[in-house]
Amino acid sequence: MNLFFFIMSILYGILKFLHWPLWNWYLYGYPAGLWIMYFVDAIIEVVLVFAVAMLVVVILVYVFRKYMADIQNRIGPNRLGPWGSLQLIADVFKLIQKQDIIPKNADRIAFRVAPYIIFTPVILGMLVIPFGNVSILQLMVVNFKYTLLFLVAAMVISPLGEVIGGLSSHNKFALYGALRSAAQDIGYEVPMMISVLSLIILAGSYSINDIVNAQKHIPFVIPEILGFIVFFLAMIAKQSIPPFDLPESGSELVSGFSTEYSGMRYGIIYMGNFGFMALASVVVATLYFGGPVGPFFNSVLWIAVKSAVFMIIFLLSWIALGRVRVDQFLNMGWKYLLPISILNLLISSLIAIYFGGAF
Amino acid sequence: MYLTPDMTALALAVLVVPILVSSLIAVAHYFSPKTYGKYTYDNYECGEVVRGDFQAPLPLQYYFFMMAFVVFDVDMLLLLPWASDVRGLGLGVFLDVLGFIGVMLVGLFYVSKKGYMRWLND
Repeated sequence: MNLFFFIMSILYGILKFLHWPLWNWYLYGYPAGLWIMYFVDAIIEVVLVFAVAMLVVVILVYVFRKYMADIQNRIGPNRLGPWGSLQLIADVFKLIQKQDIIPKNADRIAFRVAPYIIFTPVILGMLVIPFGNVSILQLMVVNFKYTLLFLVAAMVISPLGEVIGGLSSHNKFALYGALRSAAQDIGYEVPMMISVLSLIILAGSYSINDIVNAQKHIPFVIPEILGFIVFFLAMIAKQSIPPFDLPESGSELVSGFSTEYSGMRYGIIYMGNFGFMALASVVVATLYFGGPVGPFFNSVLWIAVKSAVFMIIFLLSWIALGRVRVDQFLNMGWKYLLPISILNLLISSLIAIYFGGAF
Repeated sequence: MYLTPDMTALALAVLVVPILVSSLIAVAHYFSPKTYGKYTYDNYECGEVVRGDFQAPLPLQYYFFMMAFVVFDVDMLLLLPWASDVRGLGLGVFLDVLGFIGVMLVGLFYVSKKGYMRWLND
């Protein structure tokens, strides 16, 4: 059963129980109560995904802090709650009390819009991921024919927020951060698109649901190991975490594109970064490792385990690796990743022609 | 366009998520202090008073990367319709696609040999 119909039936039960007289008016041939429930249902789904994503972000930030402290031989947050687990809640209240400064030279509208552009695509991407089944309830909010294209489009938007925020601050550090962000985007975006293209070739469909179903026997990481490497590096670059954290290179530019952001606006950007890390790990687990499809049984458990592994790998990459230079990154993108991804495209299209598309 | 449940959720997400985020920012704005000093709303330059303009002329090399990106992005977009039915379209179309990508790659190779795909101009 779809998540939509699940929530819709609950709402229908509530409405019938309350005996609201909404069933007497008709709008385009349907009762007005049905229309209202329809939109309330959609809003509930979005808020549900938002809440789950924020929960994952909170857990991720806690794990990140503890893990980083452990590797650097520190203790990390340990005062508030058991093992410091309430530290992040306290940090949210701290951020709420901070003064929110917009510099007087800044382009005010663009400066205010940029955090939304960074944050919204995370939730938009989470909406189209099939998280598998819980008995008969299918945990997938949005399913149509072109979900993979929508996912890629949503993921490509969020670096534009970095560029807009950096340029609108009218600050020298932020300008350099924005320029580096733009250069980094053009370095990895084409190879990433081409590896997504070879996924579409193997599955023969633009829908993520079909891609998951095509991996029933062999996950796509086996025929497409080159594409996986390219996509994984592109995902690291897209989150702008080390070794590819050029947009906010902390030790060179003060904080890169987010230098002028303070208070809750900075908090939104921070949540967007960690939310994107969660989204990237889920996307890699879904597209290349079969998502909820796994050995022995198909369940939400598999996608949770797979994406947790990738989250740990991303955190490890953040903690352990140094930063590359801009020209090194662009060399890697244009001279290595692009030919590798095109080679992968040829391999997968030959597989599709000679062995049939879906495995 | 039909108002399917999926599309409704997708369209409302674009509205609902910014509303949630902006309510968070509004709460923070209500509780935050509004102090004002002489340099509070200046740009941040490591504690110094701001000097000069933030804008700087960019080297031309930067735009060569942008041009190459636009070319390859359009290339990728044109391959998308072919990708969903590779087996049905067969080997002939595949060879055409090879030629299509090959032209792009030869162009990229030429440009990089000419020295345009270099970040530093030395």
